[in-house]
Amino acid sequence: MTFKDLIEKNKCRVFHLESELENQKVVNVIAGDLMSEVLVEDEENLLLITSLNSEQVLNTANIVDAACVLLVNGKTPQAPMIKMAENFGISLLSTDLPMFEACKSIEN
Amino acid sequence: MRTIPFSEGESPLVLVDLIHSTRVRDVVQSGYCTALKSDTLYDIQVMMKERHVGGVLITDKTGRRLLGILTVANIMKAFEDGTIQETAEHHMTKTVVTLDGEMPLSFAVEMFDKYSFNMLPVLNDEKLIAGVITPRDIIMYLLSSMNEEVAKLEESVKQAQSLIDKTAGADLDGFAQNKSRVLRYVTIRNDFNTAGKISNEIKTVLKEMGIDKKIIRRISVAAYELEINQVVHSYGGEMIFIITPEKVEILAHDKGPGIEDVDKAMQEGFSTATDWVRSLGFGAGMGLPNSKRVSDLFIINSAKGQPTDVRAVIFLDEKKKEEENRESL
Amino acid sequence: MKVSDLKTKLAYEEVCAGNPDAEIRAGYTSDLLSDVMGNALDDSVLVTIQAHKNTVAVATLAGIAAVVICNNREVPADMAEAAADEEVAVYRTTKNQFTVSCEIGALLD
Repeated sequence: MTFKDLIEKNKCRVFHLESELENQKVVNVIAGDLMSEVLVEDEENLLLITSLNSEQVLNTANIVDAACVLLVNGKTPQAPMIKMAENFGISLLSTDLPMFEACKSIEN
Repeated sequence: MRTIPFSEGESPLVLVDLIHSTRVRDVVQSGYCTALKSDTLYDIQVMMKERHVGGVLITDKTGRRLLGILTVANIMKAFEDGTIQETAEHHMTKTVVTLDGEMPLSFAVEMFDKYSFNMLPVLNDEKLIAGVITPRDIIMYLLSSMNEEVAKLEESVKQAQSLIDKTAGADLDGFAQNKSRVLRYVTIRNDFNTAGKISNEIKTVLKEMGIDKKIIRRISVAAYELEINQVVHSYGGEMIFIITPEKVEILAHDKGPGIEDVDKAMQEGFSTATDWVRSLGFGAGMGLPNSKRVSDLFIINSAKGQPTDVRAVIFLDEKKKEEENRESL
Repeated sequence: MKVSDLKTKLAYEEVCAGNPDAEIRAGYTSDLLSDVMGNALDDSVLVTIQAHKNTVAVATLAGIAAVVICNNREVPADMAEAAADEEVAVYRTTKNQFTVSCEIGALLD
């Protein structure tokens, strides 16, 4: 599935989208709320799924070169987070689905 | 009116730290003039002239409970209106803006910025007068603290420089080509708004230096975890990055309170973090183990009641890594 | 799916069997216990890395039948004891929350 499919299927709200990401496939995914766990990850071009709605999510995403952050549980990012996403070149999405369902939707 | 040139996001971290960590009670002066509400404006004006003060606190008979404040502006108005022989009671400013001794100094700065007061009374927990604070007091305090901070900065730059001299060794070409740098940052206790900024700045610097992406990621992870640790667990501290053509060295020093059991802190999953920290996505007990995992050399020194010092080294050059490993064996 | 499917079909390591025949109707993935408390459904399986005694307490309150601890996290003894007392099933696996959510999600369909 591509990021475009992900956005459509999960009815994501798009806060920032890097143009080249849309047609890329979702390959490496990590889901969780503890950022230290994300920092252990070695994969690149990650999709990070989290319910944590804070600037630390984008700091962490940038440190591990993640491509996209998907906020779950209908979280709406604040303006500084959107700004960081733009600066770091990390796409920022949000879905109303909980994390479990968001993960499931990608696997299918 | 010009605003005070101080911004959380843009001012140097040393200043941000200073202005947030200083409390009003650190700056307050206990010498101040008081008068009773039954005193005449004329008598008060004479006292202000003699004592060279711009304002007087009007108190009850104990001299501790604040009823109002009388300033030069009130006196001038009384002269104009011909009411100078009247008592303070009907001419003092009754709705007095007061400060609490525990408030951060930044709060006092904001108050002086917002209102045109030249003096603000400071009250203690029992709402009794603890003293007054004037812009002059703040300037004096900040100047002397800044002197100390700059002296400390100069000292740490010297230390860092001597460290480079030791670590960089023969490779002076790197310096000439501007491939070596020392960067120093200050972290602030519980300041989650700026936490992570240092690590991401370092990441940008390393990218600009053309360092391998995988290595940058390891350095950034170590820096980020150490930075978060200082913000979450310490009274604040500093992070120094010494970047040479061979390695990146992170020196993280904090001001305490120290780690009671370092071995335990190095175990995955061990955490003393509060729920507040956990709700921010940290405190999973992975910080120190993570920093160690990505580092080639990792040394931590700490004890209860002591500052914590961490030295994490990541080699940019595989050959150098082997040499150093042999040396350390 | 049944609680015991976590072992028989997904080969997760059993720490505490809980009620093996209980039916699982949904999944919830989270590492923030306050979130679990507020949003997890009855008779669900909780996917988390929070290997902590408090996780069992929250699971009991939220009516969660089973907890799967991810990323090879060790389950502390006090957590295992609490799980046995409360009859909450606890499993562990080396897999991460994403993979476990997908695997359980597939069984639930």
